[in-house]
Amino acid sequence: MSESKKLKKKGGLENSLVFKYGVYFIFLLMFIAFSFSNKNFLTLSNIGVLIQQSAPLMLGVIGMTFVMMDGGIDISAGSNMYISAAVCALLITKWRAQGVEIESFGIYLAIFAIAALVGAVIGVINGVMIAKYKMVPFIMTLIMTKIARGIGMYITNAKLIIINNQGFTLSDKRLFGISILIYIAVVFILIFHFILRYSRYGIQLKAQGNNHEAAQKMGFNTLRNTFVAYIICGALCGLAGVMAAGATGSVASAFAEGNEFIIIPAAVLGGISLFGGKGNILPGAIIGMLLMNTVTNGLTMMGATPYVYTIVRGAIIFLAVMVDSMNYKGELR
Amino acid sequence: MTNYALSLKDIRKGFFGVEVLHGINLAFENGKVHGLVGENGAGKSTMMNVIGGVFKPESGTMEIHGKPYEPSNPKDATKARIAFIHQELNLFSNLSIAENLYIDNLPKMKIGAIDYKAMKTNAAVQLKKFGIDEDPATIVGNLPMGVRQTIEIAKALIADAEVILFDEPTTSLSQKEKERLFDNIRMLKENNVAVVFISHILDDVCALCDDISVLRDGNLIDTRKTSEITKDELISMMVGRKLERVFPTVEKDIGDTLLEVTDLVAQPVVKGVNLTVRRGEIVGVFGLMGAGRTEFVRALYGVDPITSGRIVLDGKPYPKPSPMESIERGMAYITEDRRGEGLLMPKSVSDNIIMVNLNGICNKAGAMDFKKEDAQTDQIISELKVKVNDKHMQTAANLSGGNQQKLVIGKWLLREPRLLIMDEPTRGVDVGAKYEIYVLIQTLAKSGSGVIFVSSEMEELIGVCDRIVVVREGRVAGELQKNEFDQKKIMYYALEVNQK
Amino acid sequence: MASTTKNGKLRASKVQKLIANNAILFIWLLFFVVSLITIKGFASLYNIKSYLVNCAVLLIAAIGLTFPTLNGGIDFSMTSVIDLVSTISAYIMVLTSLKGSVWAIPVAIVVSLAIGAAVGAINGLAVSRLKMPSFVATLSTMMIISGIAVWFGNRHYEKVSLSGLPDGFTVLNGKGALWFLPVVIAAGIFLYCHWLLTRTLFGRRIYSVGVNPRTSEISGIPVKKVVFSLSLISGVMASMAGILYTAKNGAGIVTLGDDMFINFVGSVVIGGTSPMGGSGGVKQTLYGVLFVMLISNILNLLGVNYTMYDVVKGVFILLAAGLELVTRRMNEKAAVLASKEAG
Repeated sequence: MSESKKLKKKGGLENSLVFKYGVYFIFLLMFIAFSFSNKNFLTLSNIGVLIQQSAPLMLGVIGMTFVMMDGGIDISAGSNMYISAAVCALLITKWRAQGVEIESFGIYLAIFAIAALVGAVIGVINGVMIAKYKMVPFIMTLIMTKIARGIGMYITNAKLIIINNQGFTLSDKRLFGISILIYIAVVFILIFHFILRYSRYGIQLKAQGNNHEAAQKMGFNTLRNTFVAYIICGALCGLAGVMAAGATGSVASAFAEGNEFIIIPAAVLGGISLFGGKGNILPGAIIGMLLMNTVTNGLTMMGATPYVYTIVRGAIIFLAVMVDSMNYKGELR
Repeated sequence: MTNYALSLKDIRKGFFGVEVLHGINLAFENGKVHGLVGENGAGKSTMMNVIGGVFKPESGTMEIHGKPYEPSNPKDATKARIAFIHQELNLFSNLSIAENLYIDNLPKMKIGAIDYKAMKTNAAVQLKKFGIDEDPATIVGNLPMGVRQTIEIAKALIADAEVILFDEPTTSLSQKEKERLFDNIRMLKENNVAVVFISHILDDVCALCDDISVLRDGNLIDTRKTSEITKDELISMMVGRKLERVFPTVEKDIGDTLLEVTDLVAQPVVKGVNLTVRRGEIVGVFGLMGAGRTEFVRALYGVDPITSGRIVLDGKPYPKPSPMESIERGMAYITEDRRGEGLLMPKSVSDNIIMVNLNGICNKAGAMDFKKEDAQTDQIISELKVKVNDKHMQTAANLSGGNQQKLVIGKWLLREPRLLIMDEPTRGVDVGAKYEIYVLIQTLAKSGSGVIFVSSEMEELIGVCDRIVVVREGRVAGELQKNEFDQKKIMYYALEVNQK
Repeated sequence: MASTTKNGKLRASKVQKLIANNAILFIWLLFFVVSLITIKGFASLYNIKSYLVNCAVLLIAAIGLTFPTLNGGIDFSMTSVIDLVSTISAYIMVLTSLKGSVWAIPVAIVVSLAIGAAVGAINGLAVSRLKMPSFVATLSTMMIISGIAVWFGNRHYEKVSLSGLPDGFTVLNGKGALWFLPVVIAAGIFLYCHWLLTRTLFGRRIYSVGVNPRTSEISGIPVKKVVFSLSLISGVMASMAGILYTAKNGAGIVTLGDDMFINFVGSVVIGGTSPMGGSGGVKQTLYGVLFVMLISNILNLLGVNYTMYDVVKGVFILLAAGLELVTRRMNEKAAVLASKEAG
């Protein structure tokens, strides 16, 4: 009998599936609790709001998928969003002062491009240090978090910058009743899902996340692939930042603080392993992000105080990674 | 002049001013299997790395069908239609068979996207050609070694390889898988591929190859037609001397039972092993790779979990083995992977030697006695003649293979173990150091310790052991006393379950 | 002659090693001396005293972080332990019936240590038994514990901080006649931990596990227990630092530890303990602490915008980590070379 048939019979994968579904079962319980505590939770309009609120970070989780697929991590996602949004906010203020009409397609496009550029620069620095100089990803991106936020606060003098009264808002722009944020997110989801699954780069990234030596022996440019992953993540986080700023209307010095700790557990929940080589964007990362945001939304509907969010998110991260680690056979650190 | 698929002319390679390959001349013909034998350290891996574009030779040339071949990286070798099947397979366990086969050769759709459907169909065709009954969507991580190796071969052919080099391919294979490998190699012959077969299992080499070359200490000793040479001649060429004086002998008494293992089962490989070891006895454990020898001793020592079975050590039952308790009970385990599991490579020689006896040199409060440590490490260094100048400054990584192995063995000696388990203790060790290790084993046995000597080198087992146990497919297939030692008998046990 | 050149070579590398191991100290000395001469206000007794006290309290936390780092791990939860310890200890001493009693301070301290130990134990179990990577396990405990601290503060504090701590406690604040108390405590902890790492069985086991856990396991070291204890130690050290930081600020502060992590990790990494594990120690961390606090002091006296502090520290950490990587690579290459020569 072939090995694959033997496996199907034995159901050798069942163990982890049971636990995985166990995690989702907890979510089910949470949703039931949410629906009971606030009857507006399950309404269509709330679900619409939920999906809309997920849109910016959806780009973040897409970017994180690439980095995690390679076995790395990017803890600077939140600060990346912040500094990109801050730069854009400063530019908007400057341009408006010069009499430029902000509320135009061309300017909006330019703002997005700049946000992606700033994010990409952060990604380049991360990528060079990690890919070329072999720095440990979580230490490098941890340092980058501090540096990026510090620079961001420096250039803004840690002041709040309001942009929706200067002509830059995304929250009110709709097409056929659906927010433009959702359209943007969908476009990026499709583009990057395609890249991850259907491009040579994507399959090489998945391969090298699993077996770095074999990938190198086969002549894959693992350095370049890692480098590109961090650039993708950086650029997408930059875009996520400007999307989030466009949605909320302002950029404060604590903007997007801790967002990496929403994005990363969202990815893990969506089946993207911290250890590399596993997962996909559609449906995995998307579902993971929606789950995380549903929790946020539900908690808001329950009128939860701020600290509850961090506690619940902490617990989710713990559980999700606990399951992810079950099959881990490497060293304990 | 025959047009060779690949030829090496006077290849010389050195590292840090030391020459390792001294002018290698080899030629591989299409449609023939060329065997390459040699001890560890003979230069086989270096030569493969030169062919594979990992190393650049100092001098000499390589040619493919008469045209110069000068690879500067592994990709060049692949482009030149040369493929390697190493022991560590270049497969991705998280991808499917189809994805692994075509990852270097992705079928694309018109818009440039990977065509997974075409990949699957093509893969199914390839699998059929090689007689593999697997769904191409199966994730490789779920497949056994033999199937994975065949997939690697298929991958090489898909890349249109004209020269395929196999590096010790049978070590992880079951007998059935080995037969399938040989069938595949014969098929490669028929397809005009030039096959290079590197192995230390002379039976395989002689059965499969048309020509055999012998490498020794970086020199190509000779290339002969298989039909015109005997195994004994091959061995003589490999070792450079006749086999008579290789092994030390010692007078000793064999005492009463030290270890009794009954029906030891450790899933998934060990299916039921019985073993006894007496004081002063050296019991050899032979088996081909995958037989379960290493898995057995690891379960016995407590590194891997036991499913069922009974262990009695020194008359006392030992229900749940663990490394800590095994050490307490007087066991020692010298692993086959000295770099990964036997040594702390970046740590000093002294640190490595004292490792197992750390609590032997500290007082009740846990404070270390450095004087004791110095005395004990010096003692081991002189006893085993470890070549080291400064035991504190030099790290384990600074030593040669033989000296590294002495470190591994030496650290265990500080605990004066009553039962030593040694797994491939002379692998990667030069001939001189090998002899010293045999002497050491004999000395330990003479002082009353029992030794379990796991090895895939039949010759050393025959030369050193009092008794040889042959393991096959997770069970004991046969046992021979010293006066019954016979290479053919041992091999027969290793390949067949029942003698009769 | 071959042997003398070999000995000569080894002697040279011994000096090289001495310089390399204490490089940070020399650099710190340089910065210190230059600051004494050039920076206004640096050389005052007040500044030096407060510098030493800052170093002392940071040292305790940084020593704690050193332990998981020696195994290639990290502990993000230390800042939240400091939060919770500060919040609860102040509560015990000021808002419970223990206020004014002779038991207030000891109970507060014991409870604080228990908190640190509990968090450390949870982290330790997550890493050693659940096989979770330490950075994510301690991240989640950090989020949960800091959330609990905020919840507690919300419930029991009127404002974000709670002052009015008893004198017996604030005597540890590093000011006044007994300013040296935190320094003495830190020195004691430092000496004990240094002894632990360099002269005990436990210390040797830690380094062994950090270098190669598989070899360590086979050699009879209880790897899981060792890994567990590393998290336990960082948790307890965090609580001790939390007590002293609270005393220093004279109040229980719910968010006390929140911005401190960069100082902890900076001290460990700049000091020279490798984030990959297996090398380094509390001596190196001491150097790192001296350096990081000096940078903070200098930036402060120079009037640099506080937003840039983290940037400057971040750059130094990057340099230090990069340097460590480069020297590690060089050592590996040298080892290969030497093994060829040794034959």
